[in-house]
Amino acid sequence: MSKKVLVVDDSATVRQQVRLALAQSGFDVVEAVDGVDGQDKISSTPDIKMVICDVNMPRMNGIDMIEAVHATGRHAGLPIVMLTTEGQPALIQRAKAAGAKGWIVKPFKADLLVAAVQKLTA
Amino acid sequence: MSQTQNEAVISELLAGCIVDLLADYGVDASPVVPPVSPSEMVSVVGFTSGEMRGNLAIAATYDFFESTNVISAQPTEEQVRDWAGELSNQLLGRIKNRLLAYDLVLAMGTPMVITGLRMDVGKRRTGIAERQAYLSSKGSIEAWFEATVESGFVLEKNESAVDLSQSEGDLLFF
Repeated sequence: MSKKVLVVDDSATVRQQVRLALAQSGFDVVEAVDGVDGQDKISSTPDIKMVICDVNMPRMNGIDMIEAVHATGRHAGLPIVMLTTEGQPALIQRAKAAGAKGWIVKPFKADLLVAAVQKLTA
Repeated sequence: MSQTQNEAVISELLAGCIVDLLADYGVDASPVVPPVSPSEMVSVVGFTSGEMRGNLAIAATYDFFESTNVISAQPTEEQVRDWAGELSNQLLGRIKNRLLAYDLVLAMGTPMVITGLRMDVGKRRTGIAERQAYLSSKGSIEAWFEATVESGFVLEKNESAVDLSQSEGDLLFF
C-alpha cells in the first residue's frame, strides 16, 4: 500500500510538481492549500506518514502550522520538511525548534525530495 | 552615491537571480535592452522592510508562461496564471535571500497576476527603478523592480553574513 504524503502549499503549481515527483516513486499525495487546511487534513487523515510544507501562505503560515500540530501531542512524531522560497536563518531555526525535520529552498530537485521522503517515511 | 550603489546592487542581484531561476527550469535566458514583446501577463509581488519597500514584477506574453509551465505541456489558463505567480514568488525569494548578505530582511507579499494587452510599467521618478529584459528560446520576459529606500540607507555587503542563506534546491536535514 502506498505511503501517504501531505503537501501544503498555496501554489497549485508547487503542489502538482511535488505530486508528480512523489507519485513516480509510488507515494500517494494529499494536498492542502494553507496551514489551516493542512492542520485539518492532518487531523482527518490518520495514515499520513509525512508532511511537506511551505512557509508563506494565507490564513496560517507553515511554521505556525507545525507548532499547532505538534502542540496537540497526537502528531508529535509526524515528520515535516519545509519547502519554501525563504532562506532566512531565523526562520530555519524557528522551524527546527518547532519540530521540522528539514528545509529545502525552492525550486526543489525531485531526486533529493524523493530521497528525503523515502528516508523520513522508512 | 547611495542611490547609485543601491541601484547597482539591485541591478546585479536581479540579473543574476532571474537568469539562474530560469536556468533551474531549463530556460536559458540572455539579457537584451528593454522593452521586448508587449506583455500579456504580469505577476507582481510586494515586499517591505524598515529600509526598503516596493514591488517586483515579471512580465511576458501568455505563450511564454504557457510554454515554460512545469506541470503540463498544455496547461489550463489557471495553471498558467499560477505558474506566473509562483515564478515571481521564487524570483523575489531568491533576491530576498541574497539581500540577507546586505543585512536587509524583506517580508514578502503574495503574488498578484494580471492579464491584459500591451501592459507596460511607467518610469518611476524617485527611488530604485530597475527594468531588465531577457530573450530565450521560449520567448522574452521582463523583470521590473521598483523600491523606495529610506534616506541614508546603503546596500553594503556584510562579509560575515554572506553564507547565511541556504542555496536553492539543497536539502538541510535537522
